[in-house]
Amino acid sequence: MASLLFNNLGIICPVCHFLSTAASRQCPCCGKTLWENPPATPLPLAPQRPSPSSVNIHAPALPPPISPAPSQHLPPISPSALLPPAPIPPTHTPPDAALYATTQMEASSAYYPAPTPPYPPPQEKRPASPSQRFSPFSSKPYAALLALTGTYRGQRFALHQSMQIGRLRGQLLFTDDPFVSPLHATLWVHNHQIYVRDESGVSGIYVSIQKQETIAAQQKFCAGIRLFRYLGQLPPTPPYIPGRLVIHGTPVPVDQANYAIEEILVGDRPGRSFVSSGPSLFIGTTKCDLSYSLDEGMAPRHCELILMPQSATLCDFSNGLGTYVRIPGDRLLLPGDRLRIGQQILQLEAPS
Amino acid sequence: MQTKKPSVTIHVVRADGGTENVYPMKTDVLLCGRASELSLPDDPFIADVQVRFFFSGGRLAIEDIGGGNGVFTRLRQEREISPGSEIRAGRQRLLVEAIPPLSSSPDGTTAWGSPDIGYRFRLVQILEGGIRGAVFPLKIGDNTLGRETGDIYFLNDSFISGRHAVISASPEKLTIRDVGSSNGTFLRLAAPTFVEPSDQFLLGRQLMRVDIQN
Repeated sequence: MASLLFNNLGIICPVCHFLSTAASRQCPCCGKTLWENPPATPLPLAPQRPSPSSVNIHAPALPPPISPAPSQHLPPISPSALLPPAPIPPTHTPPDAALYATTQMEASSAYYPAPTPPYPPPQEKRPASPSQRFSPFSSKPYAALLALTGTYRGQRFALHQSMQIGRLRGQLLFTDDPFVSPLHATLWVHNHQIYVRDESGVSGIYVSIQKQETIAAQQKFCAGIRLFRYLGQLPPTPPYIPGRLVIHGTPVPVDQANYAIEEILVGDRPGRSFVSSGPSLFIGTTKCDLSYSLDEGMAPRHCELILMPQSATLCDFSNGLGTYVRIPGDRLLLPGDRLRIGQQILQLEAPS
Repeated sequence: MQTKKPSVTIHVVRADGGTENVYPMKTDVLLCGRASELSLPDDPFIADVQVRFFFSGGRLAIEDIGGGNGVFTRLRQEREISPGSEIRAGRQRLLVEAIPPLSSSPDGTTAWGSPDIGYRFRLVQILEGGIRGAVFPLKIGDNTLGRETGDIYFLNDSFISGRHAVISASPEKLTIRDVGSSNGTFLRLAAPTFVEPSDQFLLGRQLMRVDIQN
């Protein structure tokens, strides 16, 4: 029985409360020995995913940055610090499951079928009150990132004082994602709040919105696997001046304001554009202004854009699938927020 | 021995209806424009001197000399188009553009975005005044242009047929053909072209039909 548990269940570290992978003898987060006398004869395991040899989780080597914009980078990964292969099959623990206070038997509840959209709706965003803030003196992590997609789907990564995410550098690596920059993002804790910063600007970081959010003209946002840019109001038709040649084109009704939204193809290349006279347009799979009937991860009426000349209000109706806006630089994160980094979607979870 | 030139008559009508005017070509060269021999003074989309009809080796030819909004010829058969080509169908003016190939940044990162199913070209709708409007990427294969259905459609344009034209795209080239539309599909002239009997041309709002009697 002990052998069965050891080989199939994640173990909660008694020091840092990190949920390690099955068969781990040592906590990948703090190094605490988890299993003094492991079973001599491991039992055969269920089919395993490829080894996530690129992931590296360890306690931050730097003190928490004083400024909300840390410039230091954590030291490079040492091979000895690599997380052992994860024998956990693709799992998707509901976000409200207790992350840090589970027992070994409770951890077995992580054996859910592979998650398929729609994801569970994110937690309701609430302003962080002092009682909800994370204690800086606790040995527990401040939060965790739950991978909702990609190679590490279903796995959680502890966030202590800071974490850097990239393809080649940082503590959380996505080496097989060509859309992730060598150093892509930094998360850090400052004044008991968690921030994220875009370090690359190539693919950017997208953060899920709660219900609605105002975006500026030229700002990018995404729904499902589609990336868009709101172009704002189109210039009006130039006034007619007798005797002067008028550039011919599709007639536009006089005094009609037109707004445009552009889809951005992979590689930051322009794709489809849609022009609307307003007052709003819908994106989704069914009977929308921009319809993508075959797209997985997109709701029938996924989001609405209420059009204004220099900005727009983006409303999320995706029922948990998520509508994301690109962050211009730093952004405060709250529990339940999701990040899109390349093809990866990570959800921020607060400790219980 | 001098080649006998045919008798040429040009019929002009507003593309969206109206009375037809007939202009016989009396000399070897005929200029058309707002301030030309064949005068079209009320059309703000036509240059003072927009088009030249002339004979070349006994055959009638047409040349766009005014630039600006150009001269468009009605498609009789499938024609190859390329980036920079312009199409008129119904009340739409569409510009063909290339979509650049996928590339990565110097650090090897590719910018994340919507999936690309192999787009190489796209059509840009030009609005009156030269403003860029809607854009339609062209997938590999046939792209149907119509009023209510198809890959590219214009719900509010009653001058476009239900199924108007088809643009076929391959990684190397683009072709366009009219598929029986009522009002025709027109391609902008890029060079002097011989005129065949009953050829039709669009200048601004004016539709020209050329009768040639040998």
